[in-house]
Amino acid sequence: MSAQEEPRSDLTVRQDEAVRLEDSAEDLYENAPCGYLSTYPDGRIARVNATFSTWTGWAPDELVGQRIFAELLSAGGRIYYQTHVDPLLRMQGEVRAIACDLVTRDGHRLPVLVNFRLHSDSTDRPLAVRITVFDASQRRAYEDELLEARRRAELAVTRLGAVEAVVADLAAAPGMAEVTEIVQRCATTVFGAVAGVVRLAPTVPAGAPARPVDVSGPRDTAGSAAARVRAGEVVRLIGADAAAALPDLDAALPGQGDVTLVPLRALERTLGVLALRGPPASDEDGTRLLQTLGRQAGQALERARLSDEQRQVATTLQHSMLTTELPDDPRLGLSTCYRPAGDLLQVGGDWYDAFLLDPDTVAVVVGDVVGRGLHAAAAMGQLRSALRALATLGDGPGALLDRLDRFVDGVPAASMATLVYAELDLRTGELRYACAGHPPPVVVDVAGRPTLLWDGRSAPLGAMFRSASDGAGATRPEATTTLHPGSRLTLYSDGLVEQRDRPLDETIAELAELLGTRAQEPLESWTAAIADHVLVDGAGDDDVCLLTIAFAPDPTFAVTVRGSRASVSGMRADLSHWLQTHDIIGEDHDAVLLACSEVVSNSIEHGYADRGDGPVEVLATLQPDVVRVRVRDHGRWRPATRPATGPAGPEPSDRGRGLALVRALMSEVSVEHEVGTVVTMHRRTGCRAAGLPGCRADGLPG
Amino acid sequence: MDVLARNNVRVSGRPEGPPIVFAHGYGCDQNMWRLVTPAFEANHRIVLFDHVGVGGSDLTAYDAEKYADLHGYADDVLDICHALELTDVVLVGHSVSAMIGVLAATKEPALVSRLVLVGPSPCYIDQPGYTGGFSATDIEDLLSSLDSNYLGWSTAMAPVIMGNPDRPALGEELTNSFCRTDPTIARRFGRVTFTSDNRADLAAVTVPTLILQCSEDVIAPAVVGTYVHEAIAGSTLVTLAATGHVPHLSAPGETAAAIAAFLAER
Repeated sequence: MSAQEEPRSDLTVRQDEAVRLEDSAEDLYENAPCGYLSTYPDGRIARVNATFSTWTGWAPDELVGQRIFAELLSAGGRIYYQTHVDPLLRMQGEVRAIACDLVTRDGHRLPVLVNFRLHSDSTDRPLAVRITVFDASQRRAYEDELLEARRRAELAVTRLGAVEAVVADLAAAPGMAEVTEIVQRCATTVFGAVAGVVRLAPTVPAGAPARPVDVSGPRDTAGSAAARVRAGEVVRLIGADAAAALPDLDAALPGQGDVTLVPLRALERTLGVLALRGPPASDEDGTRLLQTLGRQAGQALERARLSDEQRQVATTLQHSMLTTELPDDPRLGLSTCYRPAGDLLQVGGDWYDAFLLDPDTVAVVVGDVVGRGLHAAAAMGQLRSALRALATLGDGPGALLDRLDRFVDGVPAASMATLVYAELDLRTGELRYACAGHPPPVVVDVAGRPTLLWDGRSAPLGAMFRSASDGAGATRPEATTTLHPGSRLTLYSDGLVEQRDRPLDETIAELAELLGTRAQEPLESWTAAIADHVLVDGAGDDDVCLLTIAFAPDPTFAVTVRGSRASVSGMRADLSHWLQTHDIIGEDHDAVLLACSEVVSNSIEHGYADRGDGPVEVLATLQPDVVRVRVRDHGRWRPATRPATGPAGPEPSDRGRGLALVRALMSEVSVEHEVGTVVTMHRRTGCRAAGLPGCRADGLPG
Repeated sequence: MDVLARNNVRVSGRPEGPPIVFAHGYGCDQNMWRLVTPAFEANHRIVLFDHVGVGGSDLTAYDAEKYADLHGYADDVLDICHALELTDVVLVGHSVSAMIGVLAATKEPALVSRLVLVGPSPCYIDQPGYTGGFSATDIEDLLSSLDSNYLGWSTAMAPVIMGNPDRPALGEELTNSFCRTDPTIARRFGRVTFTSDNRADLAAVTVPTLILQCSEDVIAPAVVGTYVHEAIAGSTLVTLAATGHVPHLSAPGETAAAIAAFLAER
C-alpha cells in the first residue's frame, strides 16, 4: 500500500480517500460490494450495477427493460416474493433481509440476502423499488447448519422419547414374535422408514459361536454387508446396491430404494437384522439411535428366545408326562383333563397320573409343584417318577407320603408340592387315600350324591417331619372309604377352585355340588366339561388338572375259578344267572356262556396242566349292546398239539381247537401272553331281539 | 369459542349496509385490504379477519387436523358470517382465499350472494391437461424458502417504517402488525395452499362470480383465470391492467372500481 511506502499522517490518508470516493460515485455504484438494482413499480428492471451483473452472469442489457426481478429468483423464491415480499413492500415501503436464491445465467443458485425499499414521490405514488443484494453463501451455509442443528435437536428429542417407549415395550414383550413385531413397527413410527422387516439369524443355541446372518446374492457385496452387520455395524446400501446384494431382503420390503441394515445384538453376537427401506436417519444421531435400538432389540430377542425355549421345553416335558398310557381295566373308567393357565406365559407344575399297582389295584394322583416354568416342570417330572416307583412298595398312601418327604429333601424344587394320592381295590371298592396340603377329592355316588373326602390330610411335602429320616415309620395320616359300583372319584388341582375374593371352602363345596348334578353325563368328556363350566373363557390364572376315576361303571361279573371242573360248572351257573338278570338271553346268552366256559377250560387244561389248581379270573362287564369278558390265568403257556386238520386258519397262540369255536361265538377275541394268558373278547348284543336284517351277532357261523 | 376473537374480526363501514367480507391470501393478513376498503365504507358493512395462524388471530385455535385442507378455513369464514348474523354476503377472496370463498359459497349458497375471486387458482401444480404454473418441485422449493427465512423472520416481517417519513400514510398502528405469522403454521398453510386441488369444486358454484385476473401474475397466470372463468357458469372475468399478484395493493383504485362495477350489476 502507498501508505506504507510513504508514511503520512492518518488524517491525510482519510482525506485523500474521501476525495477519491467523492470523485467516483458512479464507480461506487457499479462496483459496490453488493448488487444494486432498481425496478419500476411493476417489477421491470430499470437498472443494475456491475457487481450484480457479474454475480449473476447476466449482461445489463439482458436485464434492463427485459425482465422483472422476481424472474431471477428460484421458483420458491418467486412465490415467496409474490405472496410475502411484494404485499409487505407496498404496505410498509421497505422489506429487509429476505433470504432467497438467485438463479444465475448458467443455472446455478446463488444464496443472497435482499433488501427492498419502495421509492415514492411526494404524493405517495410509487416510482421505483431499490434493491440491494448481498452474497449470503457463507451466511446461508451457516444458517443451514443452524437450521439443521435445530432440526436434529428436535428430531433427537422426538426420537429419544419414541425409543424410550420402544424400549419399554421391548422389556414387556413376552416372546420372539412380539419383539419382532415391535422392532418392525418402530422402523416406520420412530425412524420414518417406508417399511421395516426383521430377519433372525439361523437359530443359535445359547453360548454357541455366532453364525452368519442368512443373506444370499453376489458373494462380495452381500458377504461384506453381512460381515459388517455381523460385526455390529449399521450398514447402508444405496438403492440398486441393495437390490443386487440382498435380493431376498429387498423383495421383502415394499417399494424401492436404499436399505439400512441394523444389527440386533446381544452378548457380542448378532442375533438378527432389522432392514429398513427408505431414508431413515442418515445422520450420525440417527445411526447411533438405530444402534441403540439394535442393542435393545437384541437383548430383548435373547431374553425372549431363552424364555421361548424354556417354555417350549417345559411344555414338551409336561405334555410328555400327561400323555403316558393310562390303565385299561373293565372295572375302571378314566377321564382326565389338563388346562394350561390363560396367559400361556409359563407352564405350571400340575400333573395327574394313574397306574396299576397290581392287577386289582389302581393308583391315582393329582399334584401341584410350586412355581412355574422349566424348573417347576422338571421338579414335577422327578416327583412323578419318584411317586410311581415308591408306590409299588405297596405300603399305602401314608407311608408313600413319608417317603416323598424324604425325597423332596434332596429335590428342593419339589418341596412344598401338594398332592392327593389314592389306591383303589378294584375287587372290593376299598379306597385308601392321603392328602398332602391338597384340596380334598370328591366322590359322587351313582345317585349323584357328592362327598368330600376331608380325612387323611397332612401338610405339603417337605413341610413337616424334617427328621423323618430316622425311619420311625409312617407318620403321615391316611384314610379309608369304600366306593360303591358306579361311583366317580375326582381329584383336581387348586386352579379349579381358587377364585379371587372367595373362600376356598365355598368354591370347593360348589365344585362338589356341580360334580353331583352332572354325574349322569358320559365319563369320557366329563372332566373337560367340568373344566369348561368352572373356568371362565376356558382358562384360569393358574393351570388346572382334573382326573376322574369311575369305579365299576358298568354291571360286572367277577369270579375266580380254582382249577377244577366242579368250580367251572359253578362259574357257569353264576354267569348264566348274571346274564339273565341283565336281560342277556337266547342266542347271546348261550354264545357268551359257551365261549367263556371254553376259555376257562382251556386255561385249566393248558395253563395249569402241570400245577393243578392255579386261579383263573373271569371278569364280565355289560355295556349297552355289548358283553365284554376277560379271562386271565397265571399259568405257563404251552403250544397245543396241533391236529392235522382244523376248522380255523393258523393261529400261533392257539391253545386248542376251542379257540376257533370262541372266535365264532364272539365278535372279537384277542389273546395275550405275559405272566400268564389273558383272553379278552366281546360280543355285540343290542339288536338280537329285534331280528332286524344284518343284526346277527358278528362272527357267528351263517 | 369466540369466533370473532379467534379470527381477529374487524367490522367497519355502514352498519346497516350490505356486508362485504374480505378474506386475505397466503403470506399476509387483513392489512392487505386497507387500500381498497375505503371505497366501500360509505355504503357497505366491511368485515375483515385473519385466518387462524396469521396476524392477530388466536394461535392456540390452530388445529392441524382441521386445517389440513381448505375446508377448515371455509368453515371459519361461515362461522364469522353466522356470528355476525350476516345475510346476502359478498365474499371477496384473494389468492388461496378465492378457493376458500368457493368452498364457503358451495357449502352455504343461501348465505353468500356474490363471490369476488382475486387472482384465483384452483390448483397451483401442473396436472395432466392442466397448467397450474408450478411443478411439485417448485412447491418443495417454496417450503424450503420458508425455512430459510425462518431465522430472518423477525427482520423480514417486522415493519421498518419507523423513521420512514416518505410513507406517512402508513400510520403508527401498523408497527409490528403486518403479516405476523407462526413459522410452523405458515409452513403447513403453505403446503395446504399450494398442494390443494379444488378444480372439481368450481362447477358447484351457483352464485354470481367475478374473477379479477392481473396481468403478468406468476402465481395465478392468465390461463388459470380463464380456466376458472370457464368452470364457473355465468362468471365474469375481468383482466386488470395491474401486474403481479396483489392488485388491491398495487392498483387499489382499479381493483375497487372493478368490484364496485360488479356489485352494481343487478
